[in-house]
Amino acid sequence: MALQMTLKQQRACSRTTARQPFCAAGPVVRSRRCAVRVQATAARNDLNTGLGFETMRDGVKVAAQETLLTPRFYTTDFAEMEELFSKEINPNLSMEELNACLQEFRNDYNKCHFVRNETFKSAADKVTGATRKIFIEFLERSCTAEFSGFLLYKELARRLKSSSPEVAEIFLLMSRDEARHAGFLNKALSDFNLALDLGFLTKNRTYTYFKPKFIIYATYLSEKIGYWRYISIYRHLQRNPDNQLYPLFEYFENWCQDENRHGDFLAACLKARPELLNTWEAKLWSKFFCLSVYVTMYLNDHQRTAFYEALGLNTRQFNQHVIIETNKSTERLFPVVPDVEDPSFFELLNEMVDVNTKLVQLDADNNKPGFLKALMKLPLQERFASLLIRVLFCKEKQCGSVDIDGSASAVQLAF
Amino acid sequence: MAQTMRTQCTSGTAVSRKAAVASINRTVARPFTAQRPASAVVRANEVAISRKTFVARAAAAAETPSAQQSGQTKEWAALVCNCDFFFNDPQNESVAEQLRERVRFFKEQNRENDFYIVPEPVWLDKKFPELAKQVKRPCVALISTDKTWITFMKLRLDRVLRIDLKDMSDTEVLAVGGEVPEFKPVGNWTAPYARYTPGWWNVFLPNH
Repeated sequence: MALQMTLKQQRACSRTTARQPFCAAGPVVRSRRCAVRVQATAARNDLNTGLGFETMRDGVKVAAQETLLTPRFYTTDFAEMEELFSKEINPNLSMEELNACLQEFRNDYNKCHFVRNETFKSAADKVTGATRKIFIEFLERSCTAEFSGFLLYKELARRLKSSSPEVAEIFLLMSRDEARHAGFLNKALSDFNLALDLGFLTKNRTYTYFKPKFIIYATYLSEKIGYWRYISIYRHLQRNPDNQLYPLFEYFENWCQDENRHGDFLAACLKARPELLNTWEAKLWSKFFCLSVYVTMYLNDHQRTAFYEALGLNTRQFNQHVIIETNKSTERLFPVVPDVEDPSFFELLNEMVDVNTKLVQLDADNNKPGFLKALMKLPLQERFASLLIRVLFCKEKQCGSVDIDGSASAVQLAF
Repeated sequence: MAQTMRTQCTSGTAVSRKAAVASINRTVARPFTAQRPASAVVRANEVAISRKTFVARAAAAAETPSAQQSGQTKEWAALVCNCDFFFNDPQNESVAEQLRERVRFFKEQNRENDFYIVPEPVWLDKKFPELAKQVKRPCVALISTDKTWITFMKLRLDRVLRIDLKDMSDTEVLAVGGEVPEFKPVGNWTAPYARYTPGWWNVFLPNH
């Protein structure tokens, strides 16, 4: 066991030193871990026949191909992250809010919550055909995103252990939460007879390098947007129980509180380093990351509109609500956010969806030769780029935490 | 204890890879099973027992100061803001979820509730007149003897005024000076579900 751990750590080290080029597309980073080795004992379930999924072996799914919009695995400059939180380098670092977060994570509100029961498997067997396919894809994306967060948080915990023990413990406890979520999702996938081999993913996935401060901005947003996505689904299904495909969603209320708390910790990290919130650079990055996360989610979800419709949701309304509320949460922290309630904002996003849909359809069209497809794509790509630029320069709002000097909210005199 | 836990982990039905994280002396997340393995049940009981002991010790520690200094009262911390923000903003529906979760947590831990929602607290105008001017009316206070948790809620809510309530009796702290108004649905409701039913907060009022 100890030897296995050592070997694993060695591989982790060698992997984290290999840096990948910066990718401008904003990540939707979710953090989850899974220590569970799923053992598929059932014979192959013929419910999966014809859905087009490949398996590595019986009951274990080949991971979906990585694209610009799929969940990514991340690495960062751990030495630079240490500089942000090291007690020796930052003797005056304000720890009050960080310690408050630590206490919340130590409470472990969901310790006994994610326990399955006998209704799961039978519910999975009732999901068939096209709905089964899109549901499996949803579970896979979610599990991969949670697991990616687990890996990052666990590595951060390991690297910060000596220089900043409180922050390291917080990252470790967050990786505990992520592990539960990823494990829960992978158990769900095994009900569909297509579990992921997360160990294999750890070793073989491409890792994207991201600067530490970008990790904090992006992860804050992904946790908050994760909260709003899952809580909106939960509240909708709570009122429309017939639309629930699978009992997983019954656990979403508590799950969401984990997401929300993770976002709060990242907020505390930013507030502990005010230059990440009150400089002109901070304003540019704040707006950029908001837009990256919102646009990525909007395009992704509209590619999978069938999933949301299977739950009885209107994809467009769901997405716009999630973006509006995430933006309101973010107004309490970031110095600048896009004004997503300006009517032209969602008009631009809807146009991007239309163009993206055409691009995807062209890609899927096997009747046209490659060069012709490339030629037909050119005007669409130009159109997409133009829309993207217009989104980047959309109307913005000055805001921020009332605790941060220089934020637009700090001048607020009434509570 | 750490040694015992590690050994038990290794010999248990579900071998946890996280057993090696020895420096964090807390229960490690365990694999999920619909039917808990016997060793997990035993361990769960063990953890529950040790936690009860911890709670008892904490209670004993809390009693000592009050015995030594007669008249000593708990110190409360408060977050104050207007009712419309706290109760009517869709953003803060998450507060209802958090408070329900915390109540559930306290029950599981056999802990007494230590927080309340106090509409129009009497002490605001009486003891903090300058600060009271910064608050729109009608207002509300979220109060607790757990100052760390109040710090956490300040981080979550941001647009609230934090006030430490020193040298005040529990009766003074919990004195309610008004009611939460009835809210009419205003503005643009963008969510694909209905609002929480007004009045979810009643269970958290001091005289409930």
